[in-house]
Amino acid sequence: MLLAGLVAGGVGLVVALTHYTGGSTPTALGSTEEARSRYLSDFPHAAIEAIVLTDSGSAALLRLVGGGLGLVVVLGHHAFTRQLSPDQPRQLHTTGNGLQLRLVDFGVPPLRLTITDPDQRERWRRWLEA
Amino acid sequence: MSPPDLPDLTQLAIPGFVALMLLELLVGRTRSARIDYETRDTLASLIMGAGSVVEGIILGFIGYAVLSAAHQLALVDFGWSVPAFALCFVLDDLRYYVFHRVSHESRWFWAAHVNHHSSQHYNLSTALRQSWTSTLAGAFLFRVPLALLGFHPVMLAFVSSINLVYQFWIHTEAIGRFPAPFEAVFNTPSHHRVHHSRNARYLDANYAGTLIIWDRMFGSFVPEDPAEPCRYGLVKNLGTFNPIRIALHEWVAIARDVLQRDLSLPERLRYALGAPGWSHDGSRRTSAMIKADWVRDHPELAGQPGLPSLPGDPTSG
Repeated sequence: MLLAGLVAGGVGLVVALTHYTGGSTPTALGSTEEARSRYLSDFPHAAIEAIVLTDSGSAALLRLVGGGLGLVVVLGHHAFTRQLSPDQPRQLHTTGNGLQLRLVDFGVPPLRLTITDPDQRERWRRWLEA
Repeated sequence: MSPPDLPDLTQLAIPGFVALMLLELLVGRTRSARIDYETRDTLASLIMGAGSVVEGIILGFIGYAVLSAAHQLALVDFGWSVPAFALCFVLDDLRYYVFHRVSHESRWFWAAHVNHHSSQHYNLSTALRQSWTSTLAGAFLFRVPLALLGFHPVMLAFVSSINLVYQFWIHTEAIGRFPAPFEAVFNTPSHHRVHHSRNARYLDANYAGTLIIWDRMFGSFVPEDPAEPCRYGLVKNLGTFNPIRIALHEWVAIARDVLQRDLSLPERLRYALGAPGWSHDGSRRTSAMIKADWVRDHPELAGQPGLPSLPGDPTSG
């Protein structure tokens, strides 16, 4: 009981102070160049043809020379990347203000992408469904 | 002789863990931008830590039963003297080195350990991002030789808890380097930053628990290079703070790989037990491949600590 109290109290205290001192401030990809740089740090040999961002810069889709795609998604203060080969299964659904992308990857939950501009949304969809 | 009543060091250390995390958070917010705490990352790490304690309470009896059975077969009983504790501690630290190295070189054990490396942050909360599946993976089996040698399971648990508590404070960027003699013998924040990094040269290095001498002896030591700042996390980082996904993602990935169609039995076994990153079609990269790729791109770095020599180099032995 004492152990449970110590753990719960400690977790609560550290998490609360982290939150109230700016630990929940979201970050974003400020530009396509930043998305390119993040992607190339994980895939240095990638040849990137074009890049599109979501509205808030929470994610970027990169079209690669040769037909593949790259994905950069902001996660807290950092980001993660994925290479999407043409034959890799994925599901794409339209939502009220964007798209939902589901990869066959237990380490990545379904991604909700806010893309309000219809042209941009269409470009995301076209690339992902190609 | 029945075991003495030894304190639960991990439980005793919890207030210290909390105090040090708060101190590090304060230093990070006021003095060093490099020390970064993020709410969801921190919460995930602490939930992983709490879950690991629960796992130990629920499944700890399995390891204890196996080690007790092994201890019954021991030809020697080291007893409970201070020298016995000291010897047990050193040998258990070597056991930890071996176990930790295997946890990075075999995907089966990596699946239980990967969560500890899954944060892209490196702070004291990362230390608590512990495994939920180590018992199920069979981590306790690495202690069997020590039980067979004559060390009581209670003593083994006690010295392991010293090792675990020691490793907490080295998960920080708030401390630079210690004087050379200390860095030569003990695992330190500098050595362990290397271990948590995904830079090619830093992969699969510095497995030590308390004593870094094992890495120096067995060729896995790589010093931190100020010219190459550590980038933390995994080669393929996770896209989630969900503790369940963090704890289980590699097990799910193993299951998917093993159950693929048209694989031979050796290929299926290699997906489960081989090096992380191995694939039957060569579409993925192991640490050794990543290092070789890096050296091909940066031949001037060939042969430096943590990196192989260039293929065909007569000094590559």
